[in-house]
Amino acid sequence: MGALSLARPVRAVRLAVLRPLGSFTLWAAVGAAVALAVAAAGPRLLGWQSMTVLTGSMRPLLRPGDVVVDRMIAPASARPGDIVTFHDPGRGGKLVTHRVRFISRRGAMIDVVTRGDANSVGERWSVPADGRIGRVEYRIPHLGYLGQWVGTPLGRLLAIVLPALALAIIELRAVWRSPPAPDPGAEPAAP
Amino acid sequence: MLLGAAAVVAVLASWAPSGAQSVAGTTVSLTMNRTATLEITPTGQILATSLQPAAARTAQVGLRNIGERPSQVRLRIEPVTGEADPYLGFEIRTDGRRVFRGPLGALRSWTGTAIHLRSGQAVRLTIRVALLDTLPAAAELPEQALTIDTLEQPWAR
Repeated sequence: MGALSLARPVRAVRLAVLRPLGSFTLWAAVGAAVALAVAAAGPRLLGWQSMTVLTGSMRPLLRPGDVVVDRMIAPASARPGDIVTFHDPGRGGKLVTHRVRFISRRGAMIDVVTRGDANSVGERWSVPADGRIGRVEYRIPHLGYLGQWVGTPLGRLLAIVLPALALAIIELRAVWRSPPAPDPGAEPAAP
Repeated sequence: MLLGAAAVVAVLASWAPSGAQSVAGTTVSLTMNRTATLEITPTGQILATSLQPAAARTAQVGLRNIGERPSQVRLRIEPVTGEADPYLGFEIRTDGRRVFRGPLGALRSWTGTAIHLRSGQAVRLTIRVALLDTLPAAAELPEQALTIDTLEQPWAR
């Protein structure tokens, strides 16, 4: 009897503490996920571009799996030390993200020398002065792996099913826990 | 929710890539080769060095006229690319007399001042190369492998 009476307040305290804490954590996680999604994909609305780092040529700053978000700029605006994304003619026009080492103007062209932080050899390339290149504004570590996983059939399925399931559980719990609406035709209970 | 978003924004801001990785400077090598009438000592590479902005290095070579007639020698450097033209400074002296002083770009033409050598005469050439501090901050000038060309013409005394 005594144990039972003690258990009720403990359970009530636990519920009073854990429920808001759980709710807070859940919503904070949702906020973080939304912010991450906006940070990764939102800049596209501004004409920026985001891409996943595939190699370790910019280690330790950028690692494979990181997502970099580029602002598109005029090539002449780039400065030595900036990290830029460009089509490398030496790699069949593949997109490469490396650090600018030197930049000079030659008539209507901008000549750029870039090198990955982890590389010993750089690359020279040119771009029309009125062209555009990407300058890395920020990076999101490891997000590229998540993007790749979501691209798989299982990932795509789970990315849709899991949040839908979570939402359904939250909604069902809310429905079950809400007190029944008072029946207007019912007699008041005798004292 | 806002707290989670704010945390993400704060973390992203701290992950902004820094621009301070690049080390300013360059590597320069100078080569000078002998000709039919001019002996260069040492021949081939006469300087190979790394340079920081405002730093300078000096190389010395011996020039000797091994032709039978007096000759006047002019010098030039013609790099393939023009990227270093405004940033490398040269001073060339021979036995205390200045032959050239200016940026690499001005040394693309033969020096106005000639080095006059009688047959068999030798002089010491001092070549000072500097990386000018006009190089933009954090810029890393690509390696410069430069060859000093010589133009020998008959010298009518």
